[in-house]
Amino acid sequence: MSRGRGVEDDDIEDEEYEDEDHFLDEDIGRRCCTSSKKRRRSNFIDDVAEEDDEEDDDELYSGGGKKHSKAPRVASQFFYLEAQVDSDEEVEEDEREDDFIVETGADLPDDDVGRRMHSHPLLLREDEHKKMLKLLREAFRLEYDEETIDVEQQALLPSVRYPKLWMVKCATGRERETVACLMQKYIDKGSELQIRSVIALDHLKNYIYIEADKNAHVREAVKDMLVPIREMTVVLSAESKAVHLSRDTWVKMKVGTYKGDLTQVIDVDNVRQRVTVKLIPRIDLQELANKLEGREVAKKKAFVPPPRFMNVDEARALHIRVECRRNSISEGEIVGLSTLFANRKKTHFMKGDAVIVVKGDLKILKGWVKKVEEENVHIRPEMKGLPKTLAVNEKELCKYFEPGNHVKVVSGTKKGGTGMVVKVEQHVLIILSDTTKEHIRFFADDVVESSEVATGVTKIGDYELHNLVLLDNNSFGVIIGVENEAFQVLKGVPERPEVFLVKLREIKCKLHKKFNLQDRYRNPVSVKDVVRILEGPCKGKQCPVEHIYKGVVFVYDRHHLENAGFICVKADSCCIVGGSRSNGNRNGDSFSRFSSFKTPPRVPPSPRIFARGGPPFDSGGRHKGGRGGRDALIATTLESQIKVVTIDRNFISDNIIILTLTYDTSRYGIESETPMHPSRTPLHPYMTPMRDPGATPIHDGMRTPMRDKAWNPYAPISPPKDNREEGNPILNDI
Amino acid sequence: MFFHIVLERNMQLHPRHFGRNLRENLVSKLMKDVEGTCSGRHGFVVAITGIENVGKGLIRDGTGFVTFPVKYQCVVFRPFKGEILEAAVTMMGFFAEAGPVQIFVSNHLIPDDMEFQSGDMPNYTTSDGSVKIQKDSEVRLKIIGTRVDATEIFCIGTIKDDFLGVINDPTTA
Repeated sequence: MSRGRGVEDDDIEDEEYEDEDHFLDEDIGRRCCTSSKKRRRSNFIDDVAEEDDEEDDDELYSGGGKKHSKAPRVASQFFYLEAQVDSDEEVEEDEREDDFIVETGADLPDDDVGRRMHSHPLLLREDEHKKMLKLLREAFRLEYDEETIDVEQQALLPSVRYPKLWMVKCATGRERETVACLMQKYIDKGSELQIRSVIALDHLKNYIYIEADKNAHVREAVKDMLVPIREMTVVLSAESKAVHLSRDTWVKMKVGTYKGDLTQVIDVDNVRQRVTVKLIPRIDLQELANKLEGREVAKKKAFVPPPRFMNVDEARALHIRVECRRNSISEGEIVGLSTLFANRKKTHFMKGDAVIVVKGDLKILKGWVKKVEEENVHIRPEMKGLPKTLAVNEKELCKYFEPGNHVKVVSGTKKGGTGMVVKVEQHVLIILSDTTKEHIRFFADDVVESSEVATGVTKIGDYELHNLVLLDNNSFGVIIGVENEAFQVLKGVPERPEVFLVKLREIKCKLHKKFNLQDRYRNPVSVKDVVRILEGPCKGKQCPVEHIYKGVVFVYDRHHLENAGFICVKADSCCIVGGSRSNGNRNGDSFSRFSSFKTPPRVPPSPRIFARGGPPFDSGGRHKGGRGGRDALIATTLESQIKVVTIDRNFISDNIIILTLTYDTSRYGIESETPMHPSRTPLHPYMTPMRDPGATPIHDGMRTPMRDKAWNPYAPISPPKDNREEGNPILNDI
Repeated sequence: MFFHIVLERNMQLHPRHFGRNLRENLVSKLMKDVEGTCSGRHGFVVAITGIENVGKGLIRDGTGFVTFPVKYQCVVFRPFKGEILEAAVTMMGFFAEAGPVQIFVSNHLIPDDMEFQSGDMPNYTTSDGSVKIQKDSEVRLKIIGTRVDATEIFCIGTIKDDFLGVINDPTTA
């Protein structure tokens, strides 16, 4: 029985120790006292409980205990006697404690007997044992919370006679286990172990505290456990410090020629503690050549050669034997390293970002950010059944994007650019840039979702994108791209499109003179006209003219992928399609177009109405095959302004109604507008010369005459038919 | 996808168009202005099918123009994310056109066994040569994202899913 009691005692002590672990949070100072304090406290309670003991004992042990603040009475049963014995002598408490602990094994039976005499018969059976333990646990915890801690604290401070606290090294993360082990040992060995208590702190890794009188006692206790502890320490602490390197991680070199360079891990060899990395070589070919030829090599390199991809030709030029060996592991595309960086520095999460958990138990969980704190991010998880908000460590999260999202770059070299996500590969996104339609890779951290569409940097200084500029050496070109400090200029050479990088200072001036060129059929071409290219690699394309200069025409084709859509052609390898927007009559026009004396010479002749069904079918002339005419028109309506198609009435063979495509109605009182009304009678077979069969068609070569006078259709300005052949008869009339 | 919807627009008309044919003028101007344009909300306006009603005109001070609110029915085309449609290849890379909208299919969204072969007739072809995508082929693709500019809708599509890819070979068809 006494043995049983002893066991229970030990268990209780175990409880205490365990409880100590729980309770030993922040206060190191109180640590050593806690054990004693608890007992002290229980003594304290005991005093109060003393009166009630007689009454409530039975109840307590029958039902397994009512739990109220006096619950520790249960525990106090054990200490009751203690108190009984020494309650008057607070000072001697320590000793009493010592007695209690040290003599537990040996003296307990005696005490027990004595105690039992005093206390009520405590027959704790095995099944109640557990209940009691639980009560104890709860009691102590409760006690701890409720009662004020500063009860008789001064009495609890350690004095000299109090057993000292020794720090013992143990395995990282294994403190509790060690404590438990020691506890077990104590139980097994009983009084041989001369230590008082063992304490492990949560926040103090690697060490446990052992309370004992003498160093020797501690060593004794720990002796057997020392060896395994030591081994574990080494293994565990080493492991926790290793940086986990895996394939395809980006790392920076710390020493050597490549110090500071970004490299990618290709292969990890844990056995030999080696890592194979791929990087841009910094090879000084000259020096290599020197070395090979036996020439003097400078002891110290004066400069670090810049990183460049290996240029085989250069090497060969210097007579270095080049051997190509392909490493099977390192296949793969070489990515623009400037757009990536090795370490993920602090990622900024914004409220509303879509994120995904990448580490830990919650891997692959998607969610949206609700709140961002210092280290933790609160997310609303996507899955049902989870609490509304989860707090996740920042390091375990990564921004999440889906293909089709539109994003904007917020850091890195391409800052400010926008694009659409095409593919997602873990942390790396492949984005199709809005401005240059190319694929760029980004870290997910560098982009945010945004519907903004960037136009890119479009101007430096005076020069904007798509300007025609004159360069230093008298060549000219169109700016098709703007980079950091320079422009990409497409030179005006029709045969071979060449793009040059031109600095700001190399540009002489902008060109904006309005030139008038003639196309193949000697139609005047000016800016904004749609032309069709008749020769060359871009044959057949129909695009509006953007610039004209010196016999060369720059057209812009939306669908053309090179050079941002600009194509350079000679003026006479194209022909104009659709109406000219600017001055001038055209050959074969049945309608005159007058240059009005007002400035915007956008004078349409009569309007035409195209039927929706059929296009005007041109049987001859310039607009041969004009079936495409309508499509061209529709295409142009998307990109540029509406054009009037002027077709010689002779060429129109179908009897169709042509839809009007007039310019905006900003022309007041231009005489040419007046014929609109009569010309609207739609069923006329030859749409064009509606008013006066004789008056209208102004032949070629008669460009000038209408300038002075507004043309009055009803006035017989235009010469009678017979006079027309004479050429320029109108002048005569006026 | 095509839709037939009713839209409204305020048309300004110059007084010289007044008269007997006022309504016709208005209608033709409307067509000229609207057909072929694109808005982010409705998509491309393909054609106007009819005029529902023309409201009363209001003369603007100072300019003399008259503003008419016009309600009209039109066919519009608007691509949606996730939509599957047929398109004709225009340019290798590749671009495809489905009506008025241009769709770009990037390399990453083309099945891995198709390789790009540049040259005179650039095309994508499978390793065994059975399937070929070249200019003017018809492909069925799925739109994974749309971007709306001020006046244009641009889409990105994929053929990497099931049942997507070439429908029609231009050489055989």
